[in-house]
Amino acid sequence: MECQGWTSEYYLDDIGGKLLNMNKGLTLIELMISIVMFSILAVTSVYILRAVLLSWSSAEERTGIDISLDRGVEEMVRDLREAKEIQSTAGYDEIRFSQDQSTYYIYYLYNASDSYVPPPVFSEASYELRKAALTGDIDGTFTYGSGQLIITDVLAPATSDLSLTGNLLTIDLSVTRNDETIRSRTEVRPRNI
Amino acid sequence: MMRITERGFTLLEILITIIILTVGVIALTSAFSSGLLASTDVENVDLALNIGQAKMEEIKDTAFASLADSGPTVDANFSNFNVTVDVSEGDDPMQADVTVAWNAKGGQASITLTTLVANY
Repeated sequence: MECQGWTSEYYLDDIGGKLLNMNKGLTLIELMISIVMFSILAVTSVYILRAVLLSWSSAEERTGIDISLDRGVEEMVRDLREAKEIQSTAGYDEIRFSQDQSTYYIYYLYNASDSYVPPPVFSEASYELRKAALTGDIDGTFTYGSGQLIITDVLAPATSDLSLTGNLLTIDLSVTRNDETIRSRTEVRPRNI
Repeated sequence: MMRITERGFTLLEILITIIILTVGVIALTSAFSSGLLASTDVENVDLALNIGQAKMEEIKDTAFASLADSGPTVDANFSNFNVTVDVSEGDDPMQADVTVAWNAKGGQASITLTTLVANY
């Protein structure tokens, strides 16, 4: 065939008729069915995704608590294991100790709304666990609120517990943040006593 | 004259699309949930290590002659965990194994700590 008569109009006219017949879209009923199906899929996806994201944020919170709780407990355990002298009065939930019997420290629970009036009452919901230096010997004094912050959001005793049985220290801490609570409990037997 | 040369989707094509999308969403969700399970695992392992460590400290606080096998005993504070102590009686130094086991998703999980205790 000669290519002579090939113009763009001729070409479009020739195949235009076929294309017109092929130009089939969706019928209204098909469109409605697919819209309904997409809606169902979208709504269930949103619900599933919402549930997943909620449990994700709870897991994220728990991981954060776990990290700070575990780090704090580990720090205390390593510190107290080297102690030469320890003391913890029942109900006080504090640990007084010394590694060299010349400098003395205390692990205690602090809340700004509370004050250190022995024997402690622990009327607040949560406390900060702090480590402060003592003035004097193991019965010495310290400034309530001073010292190094070890863990925040520690639930008040008796839920949490710092105590001494014989030479065995119990460190039992529960930490709550945004309704997520993690409890960690361990014991330490100072090696040098 | 110019004709627009487009075809719509057929219902079958839309159905296939929906199925593929659903499979994708399910895969994505299960990836999330396995991540969540892994973070629970980490929490349990941390707790088990602390329980095992506590038992180790109790062993350090026990006279050499009194050391003996025990367990599996359900932990007094965490009922999902049980503790087993296995010592090599008669040896000096004596090997002490502390095993902490707990119910995890898909069966039992456990960690074991080992130490040597000398009679001094």
